[in-house]
Order: sequence, then structure tokens, then C-alpha cells
Amino acid sequence: MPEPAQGSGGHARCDTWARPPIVRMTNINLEPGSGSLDDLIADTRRGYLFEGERSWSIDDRRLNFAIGAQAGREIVDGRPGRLLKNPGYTGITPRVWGSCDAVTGPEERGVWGLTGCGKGAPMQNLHVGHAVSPARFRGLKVGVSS
Amino acid sequence: MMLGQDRAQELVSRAVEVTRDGGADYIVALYSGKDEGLTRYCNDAVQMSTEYSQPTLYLQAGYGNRLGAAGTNVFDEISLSRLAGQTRILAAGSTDRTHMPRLAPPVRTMPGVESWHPETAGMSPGERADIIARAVHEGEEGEVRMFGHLVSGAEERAVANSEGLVAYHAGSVGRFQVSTIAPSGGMGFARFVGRSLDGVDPPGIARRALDKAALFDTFTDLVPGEYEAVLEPEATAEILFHLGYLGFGAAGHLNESSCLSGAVGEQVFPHFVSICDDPLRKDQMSEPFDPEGVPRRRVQLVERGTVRGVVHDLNTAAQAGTASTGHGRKPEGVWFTDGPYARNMVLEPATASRQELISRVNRGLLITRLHYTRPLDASSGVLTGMTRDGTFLIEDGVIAAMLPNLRFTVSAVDLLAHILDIGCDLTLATEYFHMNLVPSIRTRHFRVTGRTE
Repeated sequence: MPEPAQGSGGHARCDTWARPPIVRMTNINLEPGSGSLDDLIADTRRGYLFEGERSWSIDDRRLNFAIGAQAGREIVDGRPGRLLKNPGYTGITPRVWGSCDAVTGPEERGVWGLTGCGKGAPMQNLHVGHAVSPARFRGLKVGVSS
Repeated sequence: MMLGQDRAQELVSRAVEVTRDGGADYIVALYSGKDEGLTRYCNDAVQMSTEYSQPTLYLQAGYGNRLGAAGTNVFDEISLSRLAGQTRILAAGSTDRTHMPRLAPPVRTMPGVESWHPETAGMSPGERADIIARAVHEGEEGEVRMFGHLVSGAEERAVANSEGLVAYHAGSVGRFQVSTIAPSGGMGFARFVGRSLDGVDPPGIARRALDKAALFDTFTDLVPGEYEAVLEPEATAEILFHLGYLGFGAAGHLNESSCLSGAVGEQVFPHFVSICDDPLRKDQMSEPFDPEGVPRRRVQLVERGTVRGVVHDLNTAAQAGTASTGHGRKPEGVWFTDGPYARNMVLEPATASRQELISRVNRGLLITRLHYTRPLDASSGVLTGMTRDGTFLIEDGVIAAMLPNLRFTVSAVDLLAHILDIGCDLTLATEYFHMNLVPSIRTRHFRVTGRTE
């Protein structure tokens, strides 16, 4: 268990002056690793490539999440294959991050964000931005549908 | 600070004048104001009380065949001129439109909506604390802790446009939410929402949430799969909300992206399912006109299982060659799809009590509420989300065990197409942008795809 930081980290946020500030992590960034996305795909024998997001859902303890992607492709023997319909993935937050085995380099890094990340009751909406590079996760549960 | 009818109408009318003087020939000014008192409580004690005032003026202006839109919360003459100038600059930077949106014509009389309760509109922090205290008192004897919030206040809206329309409405608002947590981790939830807090029953609301949290001492695991389920009103309302914009908005029917595309006139749901959008009901919470200034009206969406209609704004009505039903949106708040959506839906209740619905389940689920439900595939109405605040296993017609929060992946259309029973406990439920009046339902089709830890 990491030691808690001493004092405020300056992460109190509210969406207007009249709402109580709550702890929000609006700018979580992922340190880059090395290599290109093409290198990462080439290094993957069998998997899936997810691009963009179109839907996101997580439980009230921020554990069980489900993400729908804008596009998905099969990866077979290190090469992108078939385009997938309604791609998505799900998992338990710390377990999924524990399964991350590769992060691509700074040349792949970009800042991605959302304009409406909601927290609290009554709901507060904030913009969020995250600097990340494409990464690989082992054993992710994919393709859940009705 | 609420402006009141005279000042609000004067503001939107003046905004139209100033913008017309700046060369615009298409103008809609929308004022939206809110005065809310919010008292939060946690671990059975009031934690914080705030008063919140949020007036906003939105202006949409057309110059030739280009549109610009801007907003402000400063209403002096210089700020209005600046706002009009901003719409002109933004319009100049936009692309030419093939057609300009229509404007609502002036209306002599807007529909009447009973919505003003002065005691709720002017409730003090002390009065809010008294209501909370009555609820907390109900749980003093046990180990279940309570937390939540109470909102009281008022909201107002005024619209004016360059066709000469001017309209105003004000209503009081009340929301009282009780969440409970037991030492076992069991949770409960109950909520009241309405125009008036006068008749609210704090001990009764608290008791519902307290009893649910204390039902069991341990959680039981559940294998993912297809289950019969009883959805209490808050859960039903959230499924209906998503169907309201994925299925019953006219834009999705015009561009064939709706999960009910081609279904108008078809029997999609059981014959005992009827759904309408009825903003004007006494037990609903809405305004008599939409942000475009069009009078809201009742729309029969589903009649005895057959899809009958969709809701329109001015744009979709023009495309479809029909009239707007008064379901235009505010300029902000786009939610996954564009265009109008049904947000004051009513699922016609039947006669079964909640207990009767539960008693008819051989093996299935009782679900209090859903959380973070989102569309995975909008075109087929497939949603995913989590259950929360009380999920239980039903065996042989009785509540048999407490379950952890479950991930579900269901089609809203399928879930409602497989309704087995509808309850009689009609309840106004709200989350996000909807205000749906719904009872509990029993469905054959609730797919569990995971659980929390």
C-alpha cells in the first residue's frame, strides 16, 4: 500500500462556484514506454486492437468497467485483420492495469479527453484530459453483447 | 436570484432586439434560471448547506444562411451587445446551411401546468435540515447509516424569437434522496422528486432505504447469464430514458439510426404495454413549452404494444412534413444522439403490487436501481451498466439473498419486449435529463455479464 501524500495534492474540483469541491483526477497521464504502435501489433500473436471510445460505464466503486470502442480489429500473427462490429472490453480496474505488459513510446503519445465526466450526487460534470500512448493488456474480456 | 416573468421576458425580448439591430434575421433567445438550495447529509448528520443561483441566456442567431450561438450570465446592455456580436463572429466562421431552422410562431396561450409551490420554492436551510432530521430519526435505533441530499428551490425559463414569440414559465423543485449502508455492505436507496415537498414523508422514504440495506448479513455470488428480473421504478425509468432518445426521437427515424427504425405501426411490445410522453400531467415535472418555444404536447409512443409515434422538434418536423411536438432541446446537453427525445415518459401502470411481482418469480433478480448505464450499440438499443443500492436474488417467490452489484448488458427494446408484468407503484424518477413516471416491471430478459468486487 503506497504512503498517502502529505497534504492536499490540489485536486479538489467543482463544476461551478456553488457546488462543493470533490476529489477529481482530471489529468491522469500514462508515462510512455518505448516503440511504435506498429511494433506493438507486430509483437502480438493473437489479440484485438481497439481504437477510440464511444461508450463508457463503471460501477460506483470504480471497479467493474465496460468500454465500447469506435473501431476494433483482430490481430493475428502480428498483423491487423478483420474489422469487428461493436467492439468492446470489460474488466476490473486494478486487475486490468496489472495486466498491462507494454506501453508504446512518446512518439505515439497524445492527449485525449472527454467534455463530460460526471461524479457526485447531485452530478457534477467536468472536462478531463489524459496524455497516453497505446498500450497492451493481457487477458482482457472482450466482445460482450446482449 | 429568480428574475420573475416581467424581467425574464424583458431580457429575452431585449436580446432579440439587440441582435436584430446587429443584422441577424433569425433569432432565438432562451433564458434559463435556477435558484436551488442544497443540503447534504452524511453518517446521519447534516454536512453542508449551499444556495445556488444559475441564470443563463443562450442566443442563437442567423445571418443569411449561417448560424452562430453564444451564451452569457451577465445581462447588462453592453453584455447583450457583446453576446450578439459573438453570434455574428461565430456565424461568419461557420459553413453555409442548405436550410435555416424554423422559428416557432407566437402562441396566444401556452398549456397550463400546475408547477408552483411557494413553500418549496422558498424553503430555508433550516426547513431542509428538519426534513432530513425526521428521516435520520427513523434510523437511529439501528446500525445502518444514512446519507444523501435534499434540494429545494425554483427554476424558470423564458423564450423569445424574431417571429414575435415570447413565453415564460416558472416552477418549484424538490428532491430528497436517501442512501443507506449497513455494516455488512448492504445498501438501500429511496427518493422523492416532485414540484412540492409539502407532502413528503421523510420517515417513510428512510424506512424503505433502511429496510433494504439491513435485509442480509452477507453477499451471495451469482453466475452470469440470462435472468428473470423485477426492476423497481428507478431501474425501469433508466431503461426507458435510454429508449426515449435511442428509439423515440424523430431524428433517428429520419436517418434510420434509431433502434426502433421501421417499427412505427408494428407490434414490438406485449399488448399490455403502453407508453406515452406526457409533459403536461399534474404528476410530471416539465415546462409547458420547449426551448424552441413550441408548446409541449402528449405523444402516444406505444399503444397496447404497437409503436405509434415519435417526438419532434422544429427541425425534424420540417423534414418529416409534420408539426413539432414540443420536444426541442436546450442548446447544450447533447446526449449521444442529436435531435429531440422523449424525456417525460409514462409507462402505463397495471394492478400488481411490488410484492406480487416478486412472488411470481421462480428464480431471478430484484433490482433497485441502475448506475452508469450507457449504450454499447445505439442502433440496436444495447445498453450496459451496473445495478446498485440493493440487488437481490429471488427464489420461489421470495427475496432469498443479497447480491453484489452486477454488470448487465441488455437491449432496451428486448427487455421491454419481454415484459411479463407491470406493477401499480407509479413513481416519478429522475436521472440525467429525464423525468419518467414509471412502475416496477417484471421482465424475462435481463442479462448479467459480470459483477463488481
